[in-house]
Amino acid sequence: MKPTLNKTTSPGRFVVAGLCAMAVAMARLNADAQYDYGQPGDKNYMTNTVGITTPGLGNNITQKIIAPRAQVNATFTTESIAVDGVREAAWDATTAYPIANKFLANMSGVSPSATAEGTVRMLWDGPVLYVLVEVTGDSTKADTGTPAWTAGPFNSTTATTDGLFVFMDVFNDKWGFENDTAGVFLLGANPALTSVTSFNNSGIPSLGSFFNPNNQDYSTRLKAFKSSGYNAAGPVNYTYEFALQIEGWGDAWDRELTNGTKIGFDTAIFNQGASFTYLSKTLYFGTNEGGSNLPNSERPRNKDWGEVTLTGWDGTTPFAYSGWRADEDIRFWNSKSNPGGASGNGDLSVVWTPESKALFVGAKNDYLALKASGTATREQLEAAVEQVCQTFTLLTWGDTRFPDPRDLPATQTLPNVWKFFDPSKGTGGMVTNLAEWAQRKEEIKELAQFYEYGYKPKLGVDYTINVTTNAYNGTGTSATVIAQVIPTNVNWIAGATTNVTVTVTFPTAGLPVGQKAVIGFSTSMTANGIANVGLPTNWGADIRSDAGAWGTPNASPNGNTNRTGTFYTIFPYRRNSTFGDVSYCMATATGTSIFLDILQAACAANPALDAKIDPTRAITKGFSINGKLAFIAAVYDDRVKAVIAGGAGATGPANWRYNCQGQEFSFTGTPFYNAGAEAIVSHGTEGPGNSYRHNRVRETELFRHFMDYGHMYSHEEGAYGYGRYSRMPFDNALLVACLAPDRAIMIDTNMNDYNDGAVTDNMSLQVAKFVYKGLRADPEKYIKFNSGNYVSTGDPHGAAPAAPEGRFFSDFFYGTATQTAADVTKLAMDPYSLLVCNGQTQTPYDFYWGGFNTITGGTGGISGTDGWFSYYLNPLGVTRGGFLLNRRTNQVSQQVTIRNTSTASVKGPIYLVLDSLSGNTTLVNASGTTSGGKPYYVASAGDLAPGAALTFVLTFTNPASGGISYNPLTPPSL
Amino acid sequence: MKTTRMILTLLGAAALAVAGRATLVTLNTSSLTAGGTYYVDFQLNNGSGGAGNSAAISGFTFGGGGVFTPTDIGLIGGAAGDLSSTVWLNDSSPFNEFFQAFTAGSSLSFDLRLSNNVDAPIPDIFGFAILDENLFNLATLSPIADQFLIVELNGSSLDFQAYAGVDGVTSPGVPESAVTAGLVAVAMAGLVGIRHRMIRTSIAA
Repeated sequence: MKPTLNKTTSPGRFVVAGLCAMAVAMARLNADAQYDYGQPGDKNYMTNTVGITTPGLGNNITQKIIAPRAQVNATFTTESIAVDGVREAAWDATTAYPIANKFLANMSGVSPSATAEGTVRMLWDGPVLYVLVEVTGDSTKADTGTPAWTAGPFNSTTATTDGLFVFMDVFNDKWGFENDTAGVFLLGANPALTSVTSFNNSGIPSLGSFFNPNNQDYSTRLKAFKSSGYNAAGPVNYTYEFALQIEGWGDAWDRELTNGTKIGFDTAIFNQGASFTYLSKTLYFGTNEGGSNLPNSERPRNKDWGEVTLTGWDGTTPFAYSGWRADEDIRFWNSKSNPGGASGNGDLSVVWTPESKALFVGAKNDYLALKASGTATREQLEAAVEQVCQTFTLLTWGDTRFPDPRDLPATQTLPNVWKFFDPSKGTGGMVTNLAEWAQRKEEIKELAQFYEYGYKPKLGVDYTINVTTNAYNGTGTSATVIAQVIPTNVNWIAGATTNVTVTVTFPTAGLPVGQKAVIGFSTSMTANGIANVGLPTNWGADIRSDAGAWGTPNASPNGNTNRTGTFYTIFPYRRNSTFGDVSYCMATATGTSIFLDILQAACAANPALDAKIDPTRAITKGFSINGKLAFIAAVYDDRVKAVIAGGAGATGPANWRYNCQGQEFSFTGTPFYNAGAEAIVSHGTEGPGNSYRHNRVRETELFRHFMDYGHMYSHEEGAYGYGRYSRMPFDNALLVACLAPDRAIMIDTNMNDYNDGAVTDNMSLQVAKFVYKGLRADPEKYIKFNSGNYVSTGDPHGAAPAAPEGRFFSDFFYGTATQTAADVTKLAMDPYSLLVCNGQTQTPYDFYWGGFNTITGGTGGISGTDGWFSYYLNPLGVTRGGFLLNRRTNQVSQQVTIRNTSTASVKGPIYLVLDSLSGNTTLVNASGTTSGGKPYYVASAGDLAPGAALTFVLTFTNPASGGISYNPLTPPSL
Repeated sequence: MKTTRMILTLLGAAALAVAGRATLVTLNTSSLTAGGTYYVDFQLNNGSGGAGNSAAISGFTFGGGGVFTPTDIGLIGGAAGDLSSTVWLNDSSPFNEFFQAFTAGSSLSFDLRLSNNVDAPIPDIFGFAILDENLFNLATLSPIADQFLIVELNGSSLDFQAYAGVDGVTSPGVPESAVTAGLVAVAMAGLVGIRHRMIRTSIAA
């Protein structure tokens, strides 16, 4: 429900909200016990990368954190707290909690003899949490150095930086990536410091922390800080005081703060060259935090951070005034994250509807005017803050061909692939035949272009091809074709004609006589009869900087910024345009299609080339980011008959709604076992926040609008993922399904590359299998898994040996028989379809996600059939005759005919399932019973040709009374 | 007897609805044991419980045989009558059957009138069989239930599917238009007396 615009702030709001929050807090109390990872259906405590690594082992060995989290109470105060490093009287009402979990400075082990330790006290006044740390046992002044965050171990005895590491998870939601409401930073002990620092990944300049007001992707949570400076004489060597905003922002603008509200928090006293002493953390993690022993703010191990509980508020005393939430909204509005905000003036943004923009701008200006007046009452200011917050939440995307993400319904399970988004399409809004499936595929692909990837230019509409070099004469191992790609500038603006060169390397072996070579994009299968063309490079780039993504981000609301690459030369990027905002994924997919366009045009004009290759049949392959690109290229071009997506994950085949973090597996006794695989804890799948923070160009900016600015890792109740991606009217399993019924996909990923699609890519393929079945195609022919074994040390982000792939696709395209029996077995096996969970009794799909019935929206649990996975097209018409009794056999017979009413062959076996057979009889000549106990008859083991019919007789026992009734079903599988 | 009589009365009323073309069905029974006891068996079974259908069968001849005495009749569901006059069937129950003993002669013939109302998705069905003295169907070449004649009442023109017996009883003669070419070939071996009787009047009770 949208927030209303007449809500006002008052102490009363906090009272009502407080009561609600207390109930919520009580409800969460039990669930807030130490995270146990293995809960099936646990949707509340998902992080998307890491739990904790095993000391001394590689970064892919995960383990449970079983130590209880430190518990700290913050006491409510109405006193004005000066953040000055001095312990004033107000702190006397608080409890001093020990900071005493001691580790070596390089975090390679515990250090009971370390001397540095301390206590922490906490106060809160409503919107702000105040923290006071008193450090003892560190009498050596060391406060001038700068830590080397990426070149650890940070245990040098010559550098001079002591201080506090501060860890806060504002909503205590334990996301494993540093995000806008969870982070880590260092407060150096130097009292003169005016800024703080944290881990910085130079490759990801958007990575920051919530102390940094210059990073618009993060809320500015560090309100104030001050060290007292050293007192070598002790007993307290230095006192640190700091203040943290704990209000909600973005979607959580009315977050309730009350007694019982919990905040994730930890702090560590760093004694240069000597020790780390933590409040809560009890496990060390040397060398496993990005090459440094320093707390890595990119991937915080936040499951063992302590918890702060707010206490002591009487329920009626007004909180301290705060305009912070409105200030944060305005900071975002004027930042480069507000698409089109120019020169720091968000009012110039043009991506919002005029109505929603006018509401926000009006509220913003009213608030700023009141704030500047110096005469506004608190009530006036609070009302103005509320208006800003609510109108900010209501900002609506200006391109309204599809709804704003906020206005889409939340669906925690995968959207129905068979149900049109537009209910006027299909038959009653449903897909009932192949023609309607073709329409539905186009709708799914349109939705994904609008919301996720940006629009793909079309040949003949947005560009034309003019082949200029096409000299292949039938000799040589390769051919080079050059063509002009000429933009029409119909949907894009100021595109430039560009020469594109395509070089085809012909097969060296394996191409059957009389056949033309399939085009393989980066497949390296020339020995298997498949020609090779490099997957288009430099059509875009995986840019992670604001400038690279958006040029001078706010320089020109409608201008062509400097996103580079061939694609953006032909189809210039425009930040404020649905057509102009095209992702790197779609840019490369377009390049792939243009390559094929060029080759088709070249073949049409050059018989020698035409005799060698068939550009209407292609296969794409890529790994990691290239796996995403290869996947999108296949989805959006029917000439691409197959794709090998390796380590692709998010933005590729993996679903946004499902995250496998915390899942536990035992691969003991399976073909994928290596030492360590008997007890794996998955650290989860890359999520949408990764795109927001790391990769500015993999998706569109509208895609990020599914996340709430300021709380992009917010978690909808009942969701496995985060953001508001449960509102996406599609998901990526549906894109995989768009390959059905006659195109292939293969996963090529190490079995435990969880961040990059292990489990989640496979899950999408398994879901897509049901679509192939529903279309009466054979999914086992088209969906394959080339999974590597468990990688016990080192980075698991890698691919399985490729040789079986070449043999498979030779057979797939050319009808050869090159696969070995081992190939066939291996490529058919999804490691996560094995019984590796719950004591090796269930698959993860069943144990953690309720089976494919639940995943596809069913409510009947694992064995239910009300999910859309059981839906199928039914081109088979069933005609039943009457029942006649044979007194010699004392059985009743009925003649039945099944006819293929379509123009396509129907994959066999052809089953007739007798659903709801009346209880007064049994089917005497049943071929068997389904898992649901329904008798079935196999009418044909083979396929049924178009128009062909099968006539057979069903024989029943003679009912003692009553007639025989049943519902005839002809499912594609049992 | 009283019960049978009541059913007969009711069926008489129902049979008034049986209008349309009467079909003479003739069966060569010379391969049966002359003078042996058999049973004529008719079924009119309900399909999906929709529109009702009825059958009236009369004019029985036995080619030198006759109705067995003492009368031995089986009536199940919506069945009534006897071979000496008219047999009535309606689909008031899922399974409706009439059988009565007769002494075999060289042939067997009767006039068959069927209503033809649509019952979907499963049509009503009419079947004619001959049972032996143990009330077992004589085997036939029919795809189901050892019948000599099967007629599905599906609202379109009646399709008389006739089948020969496996022990020499030829398939009954029925209107050619209702018999597939293959079945006609079978029937030709001993078929006699095929003709239609275009009787459009109701059958009296």
